[in-house]
Amino acid sequence: MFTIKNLSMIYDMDTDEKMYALKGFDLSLPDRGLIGIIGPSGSGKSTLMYCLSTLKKPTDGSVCYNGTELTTITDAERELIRRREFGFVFQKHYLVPYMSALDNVMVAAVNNDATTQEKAKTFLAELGLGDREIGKRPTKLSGGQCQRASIARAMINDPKVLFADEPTASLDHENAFNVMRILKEYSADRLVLVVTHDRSILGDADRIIEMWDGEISRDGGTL
Amino acid sequence: MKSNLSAWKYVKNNRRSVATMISALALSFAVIYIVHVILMTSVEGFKPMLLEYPKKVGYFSLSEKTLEKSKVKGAENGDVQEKVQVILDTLSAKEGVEDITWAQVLQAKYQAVIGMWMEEFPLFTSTEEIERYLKHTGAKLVKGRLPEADGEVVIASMVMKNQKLEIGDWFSKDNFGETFRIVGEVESDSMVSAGMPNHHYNCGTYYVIQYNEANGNLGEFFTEMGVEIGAGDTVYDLPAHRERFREDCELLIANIVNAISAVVMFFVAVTMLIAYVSFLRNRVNEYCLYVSIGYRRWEVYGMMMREMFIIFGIGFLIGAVLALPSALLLKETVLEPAGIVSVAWYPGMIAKLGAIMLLILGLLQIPVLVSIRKIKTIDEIED
Repeated sequence: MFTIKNLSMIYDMDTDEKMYALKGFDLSLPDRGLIGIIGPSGSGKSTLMYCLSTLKKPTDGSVCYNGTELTTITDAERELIRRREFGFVFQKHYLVPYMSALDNVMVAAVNNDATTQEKAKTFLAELGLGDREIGKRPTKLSGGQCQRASIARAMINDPKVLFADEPTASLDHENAFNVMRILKEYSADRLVLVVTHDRSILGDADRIIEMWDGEISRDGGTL
Repeated sequence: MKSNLSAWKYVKNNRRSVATMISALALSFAVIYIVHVILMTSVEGFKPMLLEYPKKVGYFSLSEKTLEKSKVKGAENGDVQEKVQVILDTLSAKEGVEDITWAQVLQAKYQAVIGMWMEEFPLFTSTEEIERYLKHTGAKLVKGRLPEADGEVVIASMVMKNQKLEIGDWFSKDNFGETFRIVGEVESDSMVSAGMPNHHYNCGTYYVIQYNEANGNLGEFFTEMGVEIGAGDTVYDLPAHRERFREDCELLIANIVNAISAVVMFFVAVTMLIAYVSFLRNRVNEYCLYVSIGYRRWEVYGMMMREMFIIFGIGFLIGAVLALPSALLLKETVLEPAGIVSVAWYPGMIAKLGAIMLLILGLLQIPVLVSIRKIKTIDEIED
């Protein structure tokens, strides 16, 4: 699904002290499966995820997604791919504070019909948010419930790739493992990329890519 | 692809902040409208005297100096008396001129919220003349009787109400003492009053011409006749009154209303700007999320604009709903009983306030466009 060649990302390009977030490496990612990208803070794992998801434009190299070169397409095309084919779970849930959990899921939906609404409710129910919770605003939900609502938001358009950046960072152990279980199930027929520094949550990962100082230090193993 | 960014969600779910903005707009609208209605009483009250009355009655008085130097057509070399006679004969012969009388006049005072007007009315020497004059001006005696003796007057209803006069009262007692007695009340669309002289006091003597509107331009008539009107002459005709109405009433009041509107709306605009910038700041993460998950910036902009249109639209409607009944209530319970002519319905002002709101909406584009340009994606926030 993704073919990455010589990918590099340099911050502070215009200054003397250039910072290499990604140091030019190649990588291939399949169409499906749960892939963990692991590494300490500053290792470049989040930058890699953002380059793959078109949120960041790499300084050099190529990112080919299903035959489309993501580094050369227009902003509009990048936005379209993000909207239609990618789903995002960020470190924080970024739920819109004045909307209910259900509305927060629907805001990302490509369609706003009754079927999609039902689908959103089903996702939320599967993620443990019942009828009572889906009408509540984020401030009335726990951190775990908010993060699960954000996962439902990421899934609503049936994305081909789901990017999750530290999806369990704000969760307790139980909630963290629940979220990972959901992502694992979801990865049966699509690609789920999970960026984390917490090895313990990647027990079910199909592949783990370890990063260190902007480079891939280990690729392919599982825990 | 359909955008799911709904403006109603923000409006529905942020009732307190939205209500604050709507209230600010609606109250400003209502306050400006009410102030406009109050100030416009000066225009509405002076209209009958300055626009309607001169369509039916004109006054003039020419000085000897003017008549001596003027080459009056038909009496170029005549003396003053001959010239006056030619002028009066020519004027009388005009179609639509019913009567010309050399008469003393009094002045009826009408006090508006801002300013006042002293309207001349003639003092005829017989009841028959008064009857003819009232008939010509379309005035009807609604209370009391017509003047029959010296010093008796009939006064326009609106002036009676405005000056808190009753039949039997002395007219303009402050100026003339106990010399003019009110014996009747007349009603017309041009605040007509009339009376009989008391041989002691008056406000000058003029030729009083009862004409139709087509003859209302006495200035033009005198020019045609070769009369060179100078500083010592008096010509109260339709154009002169119209000019005074335009300059002393319409423009003056319009300027005052505009100044008040500008000041109020300036503060509303600044308040809205500050409030809106604060709202935008509180919603930075929301906008960043939208762009991050693939919404176009113009879709976010569209949502913001729809929100603003809803807020301003509701503000406008509530403002109108507040303003119109309040203006009507003010007219019925305060202004009209005080004898102040007023109008509660000014569609032009409503349109103007709508335009001002659109202008403020336009001003708010500045922070919106700046925010749209500054929207980051979530990776940038987390960096």
